[in-house]
Amino acid sequence: MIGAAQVNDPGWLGLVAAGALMLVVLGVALALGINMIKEGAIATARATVQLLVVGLILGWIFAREHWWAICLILTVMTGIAGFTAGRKVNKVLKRMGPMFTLVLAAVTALTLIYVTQLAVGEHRFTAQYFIPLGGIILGNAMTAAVLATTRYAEDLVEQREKVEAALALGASPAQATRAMERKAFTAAVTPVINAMLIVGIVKLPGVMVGTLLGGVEPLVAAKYQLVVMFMLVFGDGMTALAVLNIVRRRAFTSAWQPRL
Amino acid sequence: MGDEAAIRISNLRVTAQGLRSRLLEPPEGEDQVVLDDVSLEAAKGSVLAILGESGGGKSTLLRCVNRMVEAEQGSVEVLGRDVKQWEVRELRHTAIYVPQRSFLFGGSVREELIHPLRWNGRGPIKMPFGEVLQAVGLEVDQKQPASELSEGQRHRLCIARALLLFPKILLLDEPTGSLDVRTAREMLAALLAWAKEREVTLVCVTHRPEDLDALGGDALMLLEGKVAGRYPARDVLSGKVDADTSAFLGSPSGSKP
Repeated sequence: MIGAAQVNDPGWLGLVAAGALMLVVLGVALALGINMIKEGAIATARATVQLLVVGLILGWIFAREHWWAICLILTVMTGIAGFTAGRKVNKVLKRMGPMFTLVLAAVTALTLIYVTQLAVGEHRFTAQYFIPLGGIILGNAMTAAVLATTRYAEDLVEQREKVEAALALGASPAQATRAMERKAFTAAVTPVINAMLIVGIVKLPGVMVGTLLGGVEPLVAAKYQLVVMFMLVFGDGMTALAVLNIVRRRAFTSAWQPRL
Repeated sequence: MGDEAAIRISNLRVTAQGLRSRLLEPPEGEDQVVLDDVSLEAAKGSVLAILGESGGGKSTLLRCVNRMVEAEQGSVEVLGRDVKQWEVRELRHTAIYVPQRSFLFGGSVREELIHPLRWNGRGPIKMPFGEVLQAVGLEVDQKQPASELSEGQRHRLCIARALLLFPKILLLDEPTGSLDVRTAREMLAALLAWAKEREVTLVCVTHRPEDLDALGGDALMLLEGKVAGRYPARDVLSGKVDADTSAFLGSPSGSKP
């Protein structure tokens, strides 16, 4: 554990009290003629169920520290992230889910091993480190995969004629779309780079809030946040690079004809 | 001309489905035929003009030769070898397609000419930049930004860019579309001289009778995706053609893209 755990349990009553905040805003909105009760109810129900279930599962895993249970949950998380990303790019490229999952698995594994061994000095395979860190990497890398793919595919459709003009002069697909790949990569890593610019000034990120609430010394919490940000740049960047290579291969035939 | 053919196309068939994105839309409804049973031959060093209405498959025909479009049926041979057996890059150096719209990749006139050399791992050293510009009748400062050129000049720059790769076959899609009659005639004359000297085969989509006059050679009539006839260019100009072809040449709708 990072320092001593001295967190207050909100308790069920505490949850009800927090939920009342939701009711307040829904009530005020209704008074103003904005009926969001249905959306609010669905969001509340889903969040409650999802989080409590995750809490229970993680609680079980944290208590036992079975290596296979940690692997299993990381695998499930990776699959969900991969297929969610695949569904999000369905409009531009079909059936990317399996590929995304493979890329996310490789990138997450690599990042996790590096960070736990060299940055945070956790040499055992513990749920406490691997699951939360894995979750952050996956969530961000998933977005990076979607951004890179969408940007590249949309640009290719839009500039197909120009790409063909380059291909007609003997350019390979990689050469003909180099500028697009650059843009797509930038689009994928820009969110985390921008977050680094304002972190701590405009908002405290989730990891820092979490560790602070967990009773960790603020300077340690800040160091953790830094580790996380560098880790995310790496994860997003590697994901974007790998994904762009796969997308390019999918977007052209072996005879260097654009398919999009 | 008992020579080996530069291009031999046999019973070529291409449908709209084959042209469209192969990953996105599923086939819907009746598939439209773009090219139907097209056969033609062009001897090495010859000149062939392709005439026909817009949307009649002229560009698609050229794009089959450099394998940008895959034939559904039939075969395309370049220098006696099926395009599917060529290494793609080698094929696209041998038979270069210059699209109707001019696309610039950035930089000065000189840099514009260099881009394809870079893609192909060739150095820009000792390249005849002046010569290729001359071959398209373009007299500009090579240090000038290419984006400052007029549309007509840009198009000629695109042709010059292709020439620098020394193709054996040049596939030109409406090369004179953005030029006035006199400039077009000058450019075609310069281009023909270049081609003749190097035994380059010229295939040229056009809809201007003046171009036929400048090009000479044969003219192939493509109507609704089918070959409607092939005549020596001077016969087309003097009207010694069949009814369909003369109707097309006489109709004003056929002369605009």
